[in-house]
Parts: sequence; C-alpha cells; structure tokens
Amino acid sequence: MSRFDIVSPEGLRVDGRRPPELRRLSCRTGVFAQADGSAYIEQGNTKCLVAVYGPREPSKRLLTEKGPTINVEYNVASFSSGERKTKMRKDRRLMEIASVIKQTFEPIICYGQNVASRSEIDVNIQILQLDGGALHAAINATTLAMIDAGVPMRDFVCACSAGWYKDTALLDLNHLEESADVPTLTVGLLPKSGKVTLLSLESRLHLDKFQSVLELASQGCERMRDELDSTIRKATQELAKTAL
Amino acid sequence: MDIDTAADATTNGASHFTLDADTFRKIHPAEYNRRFISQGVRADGRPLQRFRKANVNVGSITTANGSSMVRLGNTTVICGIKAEVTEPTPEAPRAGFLVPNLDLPALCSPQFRPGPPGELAQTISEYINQICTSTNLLNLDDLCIASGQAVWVLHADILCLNYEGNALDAALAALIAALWNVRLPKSTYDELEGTVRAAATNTIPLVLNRLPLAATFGVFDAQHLIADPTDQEEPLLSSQLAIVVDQEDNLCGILKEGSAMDRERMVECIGLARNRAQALRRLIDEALAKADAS
Amino acid sequence: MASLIVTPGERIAHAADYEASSGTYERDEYVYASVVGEKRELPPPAGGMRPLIQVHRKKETSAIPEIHSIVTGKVVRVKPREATVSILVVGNVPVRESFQGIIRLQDVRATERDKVQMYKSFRPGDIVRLASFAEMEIEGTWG
Repeated sequence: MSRFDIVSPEGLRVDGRRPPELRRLSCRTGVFAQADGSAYIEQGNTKCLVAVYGPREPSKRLLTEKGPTINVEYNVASFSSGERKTKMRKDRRLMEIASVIKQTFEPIICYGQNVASRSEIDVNIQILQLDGGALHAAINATTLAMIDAGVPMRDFVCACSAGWYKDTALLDLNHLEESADVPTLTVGLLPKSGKVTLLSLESRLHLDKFQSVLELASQGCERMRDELDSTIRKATQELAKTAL
Repeated sequence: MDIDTAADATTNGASHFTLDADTFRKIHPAEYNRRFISQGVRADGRPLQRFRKANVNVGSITTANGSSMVRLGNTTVICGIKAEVTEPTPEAPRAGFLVPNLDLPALCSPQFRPGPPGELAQTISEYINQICTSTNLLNLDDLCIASGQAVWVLHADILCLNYEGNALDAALAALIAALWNVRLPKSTYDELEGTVRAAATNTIPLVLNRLPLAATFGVFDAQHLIADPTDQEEPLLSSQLAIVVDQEDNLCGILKEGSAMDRERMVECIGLARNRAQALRRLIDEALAKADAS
Repeated sequence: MASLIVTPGERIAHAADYEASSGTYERDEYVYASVVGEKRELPPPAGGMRPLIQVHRKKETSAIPEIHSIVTGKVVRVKPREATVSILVVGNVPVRESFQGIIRLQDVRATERDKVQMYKSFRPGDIVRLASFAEMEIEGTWG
C-alpha cells in the first residue's frame, strides 16, 4: 500500500493534475546545428533530445533492397533519474525501446523522393531527465526531428500514455505513478488516418478497462498532434521571416 | 558566383571552373580558411585570438545532485553529477571518489558514430581526471560518511549535445560549475544495519580547493595562433595547446600535441588563458548566484 | 501574400487534378504533403500532363546525389579500371558528409575508350566534376 494517494479524494493527482490532464509541454525544433534535424521536448520533468542525421551513406555496406534503413539509438543519461544508471553498452531494455521506435517510424517514411534507396537515416535519442513517459516523449521528439530534417513522412506519429487507477483513467503518467504499479499503456497514433501504430503495455490491465484507457491515450495523442503541428509551423514561419 | 562548366581537355592541375563560397569551403577547406586567417580573421568572423561567447547555467537537471550546461559558441555540453554510497579502499578509509567522464555521442556531430567511446572522448576524460587529481580539486576526505565503511562517490558525467570544436574547455567548465552546484544530503552510518541513512533533502555543498579552467589554442600553417578552434578548423591545425589555470593564477596543466611550437607563442597563450579562465569563472559565479536566488 | 504552409499528412489536392511532385505523396485519390513547407503549383512538364504540385521546404536538406545531378568531388583512389571519388558537392550545395562514387574506365570518355589509362587521367587529390549516371555510380564527363 503506498504512502500517498495516486488520486486524492478531491480528485487530484500527486502533482496537482486532474486525471485527464496532460503535463506542461514545451517543444522546440532545430536546436542544434550539427544534426540535419533536431528537437527538444519537455513534458513535465521528462526532458528528451533527438538528433536526426540523414539521409546519408550507410556505414556498413549492406545491400538492402527494401529501402533506406533507419537506425535508432536510444540513450538515457546516467544522471537522468533517481538512481544512477550505469550505461552498459548492450542494455537490452534500451535496445528494445530503440527497436520499437524504429519499427514505428519505418513504415511512415516515404521512399523515392529525396531518400535514395541505399541510404541510411540515423536517429539519436537522448533522455536527459526521466519522470515517466520517456517512450512517448521520445516518439514525439523523433517526429519533430524527422520533420526538421526534411525526411518525407506520410503523417506525424504522436504518442501518449494513459493508465488506470481505481475507476479512473489517468493521462500522461509521471514516474511516481508508473512505479506505483499503475498499469501504463503507451499509444502511438497516426492522426491523419486515426490508425494506431504503437501499443505498449506495462503491468496488467483488466480487459474491461482497456477501452477507456485506449480512448484517453488516443485523445492525448490528438492533443500532442496539435502541439507538434503548431511547433513545426511556428519554426517554419520563423525561418521564412529570417530569410526575407 | 555561378559555377562555370569548363570545356577544356587537361589531365590534372588547375580547375577551370569557378566555385561559389560554400563549394570552395567544402572542397578546399585549408585554402578557404587560409584566405581568412592570413587577413587576421577567421571563417566565423572572429579575430584570431578571440574565444567564442560562453554561456553557463546550473541546476537544470533536478534528478542530479548537481548539474550544469555550458555553451562555447555552439559547442554545448551538459554535466550531471550523481552521488552514490560506496566502500572506501583500505589504504584511504576516509577518501571518497570523483569520477569524471566525457561522452561524445553520435548525437552531437556527424563525425562520431555509435559505438564505444572514441579516442577523443577518452583522451579528454583522462586529462580531466588528471587535472582533478593533480590539483586536489576536492578534499576527498570531505566525502567521508563513516571511516572505513561508507564514502560518497561522485559520478560526473559530461555529455556533449552539439560538437563544434573544443570539447575540453567546455567539459572542464561544465564540471567545475556542476561540482559547485552539488548538494549532498546529510547522512549517517548505521553501525548495526550496515547501511547509510540520508536526509530527504540535499543541503550540503562541496568545498572546491581549486577552480581549474582550460583554454585551448591551435596553430594554423605553423605560423598563425588561433584561440578556441572550431570543428572546421581542428583538422587543419598543425598543433594544439591547452592551458589550465586556476583562480589564483596558478598554472595547473599544459597539454600539447602536434608539431613544435615557439616558446614565445606558449607564453602568449598563457597570458590569454589567464584572461579566459577569469571570464569563465565570472560566468560560473553569475550562474550559481542565479540558481541560488531562485 | 501569405504563403500556405502545410505539414506532413495534410491533404493538399486531388490526384486526378495534379501530379504529385517533390515533398508530396499520393494515396488513394489524393495527394498529401510529406514534408513541412509551402504548397506550390507548377505548370505541367509537358503537354497533355497534369500540373505539378509540390511542397517546398524552406530549410535546406542535406544534399544527396541523384541520377542526373552534377556533382563535384575529390579523387581518393585510382585503380587500373576505376577511380573512387569522394563526392563533396551536389549542384551548388555542399553535402554534410561525403558520399562515394566510382568512375569506370569505360565512362571516362566517349571516343577511343580502350585507349584510356586511369592513371593518366586521374590522380588522388584531383577535383572532378561529373554527371551522375545511376544511384551511387558516377559517369565521368571529364572534359
């Protein structure tokens, strides 16, 4: 039994939010000059940075006929959470997340124009501070960085998490909530078609509750889409202004 | 300038097409930079011996015991320090540990590929470690919780987010700023349980004996001395020199690589390094004051 | 005039009316944007074809060599039957990281092909300008 209430009797969560509220969000693109595209997202206290390089020549001369390869590196800084994370080169958990992100973006990229079939796109994700929701922050930041790099995509990929606690669905879980065994569902959505491209569940969630949690997470994704879209537009307008 | 398409049949040597500035810089980088430097200015507009504008802020990573972010021009590094409890060595039962490490990940520049740390990152990490030990930066005994049983180990992880040359200067400045920002919790050692109990809040700062800060220089074409080389300039330099100076104007370290350098040159650098270290210290002070005030 | 900025996934035209050009893709009966930028219409490239619709990105993408682009590079290796070139510039735009291209013996010049000697035509360090022939393979028009 936890010492605190995940949702207080007044209906407030540990950080003062109501169950369907998103954390404070701040997004920026084009943050670093070296990368072809980059983005930085702060969602509550979770801070995520993504740099995209490409299309570029593959470092290994593998002849894949399928199309350009996306390589995803997902790194969590050792100082990013309460307990120091020693970086083991082949940490399986990190590789699993990288693989999930890679599979999410691979089908979204448009081949043919501007992306030669034997080229490579490198996505480097760096989590600077962890407070829950790292996976969806990484996906949203990757979408922004890809767009910033000019990688042609069919749609945005927007992601958000939701969970269930004692009759209420909660949106955008923080670290305390995730670690208090609140089942967490991370959803990745293609907003144009409304199709779900990623579904990841930690811990057990009763089937009856699944629908509500999925619904709430999807709404969260829609709101993320609006944020990401306006960030991109604002950045493009800024660029237009400086060009004049 | 437009590109001319030549129609001359020569086998090699002089190119007959004119190139615009960006193309020229890409194809003949040494010549491109030479045209600027020989006029006393650099490709980014700086006078030869000017350092890039620096920017420091501290405390942005709340999950760390101490943190900082330093920008030298566009080279950006972030340092996060995490304190853990560990057993001391039998030879030094009261001494804690300071473990600095610099990472130059694939994220920060197209020249670094994913994989184990490269030579540059390892060399700089090792050098920073040497500076910490040789200057007695921290009294390691200050990190003692219970003699022979429990001490603090400070893992100072420095991560480069954008590399545009001169990681050493940025990394060392970030380390110093982050160390000064560190707050440890009051801790007691429980003899019976063999565990350490720490207070809920972090309140105890560190005492830094020295504030060593680095200034890096390069020599171009064996004659021109430039300060704070960019990533474009670095591969063109015949030698590099890093000078570390502390708050009492003591020379803490000199790191030199490449071909031989004039003695007068080196003395010139030392003077410039002193000023740079002073300026950086001022910025760090301001950043810390701002963090304390908030 | 306010430019119309579109973002990836935004529907911009009917496929029946326009031909999808750079920065767009076609699906079902519509043309959608695939990058962020300004929506532009261009006249049809040839009679009887549909006008083009494209999305023009303001920020420069890293240049990559495509078929029929003019590239400038530096010769890095010369072998009896081919020379390897490090491609540094595509058109007027420097690449962020170099690509590699090959000049084959038979592509060096149009006449007297069998008399061409690689070592006499190219030396490491030479700057060359070429028209690219196929993805990742370069035909040298050295003249």
